[in-house]
Amino acid sequence: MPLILNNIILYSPTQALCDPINITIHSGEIVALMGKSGCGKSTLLSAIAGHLSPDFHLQGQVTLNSQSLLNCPAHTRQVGMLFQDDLLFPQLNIWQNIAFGLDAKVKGKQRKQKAMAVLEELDLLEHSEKRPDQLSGGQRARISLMRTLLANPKALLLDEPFSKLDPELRKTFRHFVFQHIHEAQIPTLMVTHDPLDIPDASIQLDWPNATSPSMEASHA
Amino acid sequence: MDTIYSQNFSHMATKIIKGNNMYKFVIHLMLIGFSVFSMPSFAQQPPHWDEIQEQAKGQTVYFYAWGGSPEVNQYLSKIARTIYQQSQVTLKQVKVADISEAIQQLLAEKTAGKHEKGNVDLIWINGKNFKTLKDNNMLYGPLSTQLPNWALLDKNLPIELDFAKPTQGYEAPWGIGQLVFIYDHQHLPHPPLSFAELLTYAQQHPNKISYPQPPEFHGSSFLKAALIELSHDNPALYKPVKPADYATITAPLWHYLDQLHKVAWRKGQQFPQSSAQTIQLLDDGELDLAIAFNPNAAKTAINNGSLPETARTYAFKAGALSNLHFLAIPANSSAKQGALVVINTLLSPEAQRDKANTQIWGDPSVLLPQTLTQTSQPVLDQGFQRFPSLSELDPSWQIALEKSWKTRYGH
Amino acid sequence: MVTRSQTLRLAYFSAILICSMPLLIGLIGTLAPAFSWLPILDLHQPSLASWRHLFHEPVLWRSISLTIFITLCSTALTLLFSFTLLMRFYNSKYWSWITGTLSPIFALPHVAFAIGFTFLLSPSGWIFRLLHPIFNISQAHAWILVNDTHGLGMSLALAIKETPFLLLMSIAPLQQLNINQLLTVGTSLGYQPKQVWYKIIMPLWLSYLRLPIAAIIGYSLSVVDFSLILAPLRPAPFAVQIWQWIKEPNLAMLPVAAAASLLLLVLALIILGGLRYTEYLLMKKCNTWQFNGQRQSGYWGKLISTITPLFYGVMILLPLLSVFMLALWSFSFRWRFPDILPQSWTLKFWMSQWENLHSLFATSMSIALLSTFISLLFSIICLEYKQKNHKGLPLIFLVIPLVVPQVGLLFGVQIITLYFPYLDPFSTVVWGHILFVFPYVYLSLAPAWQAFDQRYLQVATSLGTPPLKAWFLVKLPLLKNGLIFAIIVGMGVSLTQYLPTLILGSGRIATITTEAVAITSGQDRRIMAIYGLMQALLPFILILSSFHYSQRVHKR
Repeated sequence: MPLILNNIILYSPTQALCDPINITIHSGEIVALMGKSGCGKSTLLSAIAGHLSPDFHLQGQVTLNSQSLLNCPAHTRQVGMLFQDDLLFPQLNIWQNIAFGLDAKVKGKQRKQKAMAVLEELDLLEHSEKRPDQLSGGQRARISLMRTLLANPKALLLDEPFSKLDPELRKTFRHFVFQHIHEAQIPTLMVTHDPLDIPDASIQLDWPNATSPSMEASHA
Repeated sequence: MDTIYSQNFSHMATKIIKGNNMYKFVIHLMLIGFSVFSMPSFAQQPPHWDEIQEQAKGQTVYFYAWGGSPEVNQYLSKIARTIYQQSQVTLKQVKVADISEAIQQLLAEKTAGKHEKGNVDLIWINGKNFKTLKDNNMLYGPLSTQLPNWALLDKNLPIELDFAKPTQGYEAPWGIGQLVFIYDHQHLPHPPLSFAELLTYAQQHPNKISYPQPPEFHGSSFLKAALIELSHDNPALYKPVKPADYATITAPLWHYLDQLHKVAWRKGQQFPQSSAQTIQLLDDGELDLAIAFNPNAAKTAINNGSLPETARTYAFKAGALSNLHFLAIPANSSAKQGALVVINTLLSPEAQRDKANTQIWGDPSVLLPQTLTQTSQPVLDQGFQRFPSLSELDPSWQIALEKSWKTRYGH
Repeated sequence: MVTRSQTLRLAYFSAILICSMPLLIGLIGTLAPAFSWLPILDLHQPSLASWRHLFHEPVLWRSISLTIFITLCSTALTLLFSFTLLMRFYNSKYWSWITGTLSPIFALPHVAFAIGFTFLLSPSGWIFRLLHPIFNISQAHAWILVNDTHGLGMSLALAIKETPFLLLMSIAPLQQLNINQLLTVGTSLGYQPKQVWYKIIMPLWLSYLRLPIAAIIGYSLSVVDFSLILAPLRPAPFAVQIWQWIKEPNLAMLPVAAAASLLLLVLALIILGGLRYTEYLLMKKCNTWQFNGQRQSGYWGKLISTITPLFYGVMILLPLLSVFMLALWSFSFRWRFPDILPQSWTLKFWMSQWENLHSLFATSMSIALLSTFISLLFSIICLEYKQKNHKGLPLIFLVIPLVVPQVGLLFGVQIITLYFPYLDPFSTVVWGHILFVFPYVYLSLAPAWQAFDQRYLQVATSLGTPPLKAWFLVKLPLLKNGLIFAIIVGMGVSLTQYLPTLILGSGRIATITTEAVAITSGQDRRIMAIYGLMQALLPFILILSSFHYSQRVHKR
């Protein structure tokens, strides 16, 4: 189930922000998009997710499972996103936040059961009734990822998801994220400015000259 | 003036004593008498009127008057200018939705012990409201002895009776009210001429007849007039209510209203709030009859653009419920002299003529008819009419009817 | 020697005393007669007699249920309109245009709008005249929205007036919530944007808007002037009924009116409490709907989003058309149903009212200026005190005048003034206005004070300027925009007051607003239109410029 970017060029009101991007991301593969902050990487992710600001313009094609994404409304694209902030909803408690990601077919008590099962896996069961602000950053980040994965996305976009965590936590969380992505076999596009974030055996793209994948970092 | 007459008289007396011309004496007597009685605008001034006028200068008179008629408001603002020019008294109209608000204020002031510097200097009342104030000794007066223009009043009118109660001169008549109906003769060539016919008409043309919601005074008067007809002019109506007979006498009225409301405008779920609203609804085509207390209401409305030219005023065959409306001065007013001057001016021929002018208000004058023709300006087409009158009921009946209406239909 | 801070403390407590005295007086003045203790009327024995009388009044229950219905209906409509408009247009390309139109609609005084509303929507109103030839409906089948038995017309009019208020109050909280991010997360989880709005944003939005919603509810429950024009009158809403009992010549009704005022206050508290509990139930306790996973809108959701632009149309068209109607009627001579435009025109009514308008204008403006400047002085004192001692004005002084029914509060004040029969009506009215103007002036001024950098003053004093001089020369000019904004808001509030002027002035003080309502009983549409327009004009200009100034304040 590959995610394919074909001749993607991002335009700001005044200029093109990058050279045409062509990349195919296979299931379980993580492609890292590297570059300085503020040059449009996050905007590209927004565009793929379906939230491009009207000031910007995206040219080219994005396909997921042979379906063109750019013509679909954002909520039908089945593209999950993870941000720097965990963005857990403050008015719901932990298990309710997780349950939010579940499919509607899971009804009633089953939703709570499934959410609790996830929490157990994370070893956070005792925090199930707490509010997000009562947990640590690391715990929240993990819950956020699980919520995203529970929605069964067909592709994943990561927007500097580790940058707000301290180095120790970063390592463990990174490992956690990549492990789950591998298990779920989802193509992932990650934006980051820290080379350490890039997992082994993955492709790195440099922005804006992102025409051809550079193979350097992959052979660490 | 006094001095001239007394000079005249003494001069004449000297001549008589000196001479022996009886013929000349009689002629002189006639001349003096004629000069005295043919100049009503220079009526012999009651004592101290000059003093009153002097004290009145610079006073502000707060006149609590019903504000629901644009014609009245317009008239009053016009006359205020005249009053100021003539006597340096500032007349300020306090527009109240119902004059009972002023009564409430006066009662509250009395209970609070505010015996001077009251808020109300002049008040436009009649009927039950006058009764309340008079019974509680809250009026200043008598006015009849203090106002020079009292002499100009038409004594054929019951000027010292208010709803069959003697006023003892504590209120000055200002104009005449008659409960009349207005219709558009293009739309309705033969309007109903009695309450019975009104009910029949309403049943044939549902949603077209209504009356203002009591205790608004037009609505209350509608009830009174209906009661007169339905009780066949029972003499008990002109005496204070006897609780024992009340139910039997008013039974036909409630029965009538029960039937009327079924076919009334908005099925009697809603009532117009004022006479002016009935006129508006008549113009809009929602009602077929409007109600007013001014026999010239249609003419005034036409002049104001509120009704089409085809509007006419009429009264039922039995006559129109009629009353005088009055001006009175509360006992705790701080501008009594100013108020007296205002009343006097309002009773002047010019003011009464303007009031009767259907271009302005159209309220009939209370003065002797000949006084109006002697004003300096040419007589405008007043064209006003008066209908045969039905006397007012004893005020206690109005209070009782309003209360009963509220209980039966007020919610 | 008295220090500056002691003077400030004295001034602060005096300000609180003067501003809160009416509240206390109002409470006492209502409590005592409610329990039949009113020596001035020879009632020396506290008892429950007035309560018994009240509960035997035949109109009571219907009046109360009417009031509750109107309040709940208008609040529900307001929430519906506001939320759906936010959902549909927030941060869309139309959003700045919509926010731009909100301020003028909000600035239109409610009495003027009510008058215009009757011209538009009565059975012989303009809208019916437009539709009647097209759909061939006879007049007998026209809708009834003015003074209708269930108060639907009034609920609609209230909702139209309150929606811009709620939308304006939403802008800041929504910015804080970072809507875009929430939408992105929600849609990335597969939820339709609308569903994200309902499930995620709405509970947060409601929690921010509790005070504005309470103000709306307080207003709907207790408004008298608006009700006199649009509400049913048989029975009338409870606040109007109380007002009628207060005015009755039968003074024995005064204790009943007092008891009724307390009942209205209790009713307000019950409704506010009930709604808060409902919010808690729906948003917190029974919140499974928020995470039940439903990602698509149902039938109702789809319907609502289709007609949302219609809501906006109604919200903006009706006020605009109302003003247009006022203008047309003021110049018309003959305008009979079913004509769309007047048959003949005239200036006669404008000319006849001109003089009266002048003196009313002078009275209205002098009351507004006095009450606003005194409120400003008090607000400055309170804010300075707060800055020095970090003790803000207790919220209760601000909330009570905004939420408690005016009619009860003022009734209490009026009873007490009976004990002081020689009070000048004008001063009493100004004092009454201060009570209601002060919270608005304070709330408008507070952000400017908060934004002020104290170091400017410190620099000035370190350069040798005496503190008081520094305050006038340095601080005041820097707060100029905030002060102007507060003055404009205060004057706008004072100019549209009805009950305080009427009750405390004993009818002798006439402002444009009181006259506009009095004139409405006369039903001459030309005169009503003139007064409606005049009532609308000045606050309109003032409040519009207040938004201009508020943006300048916030831009810093």
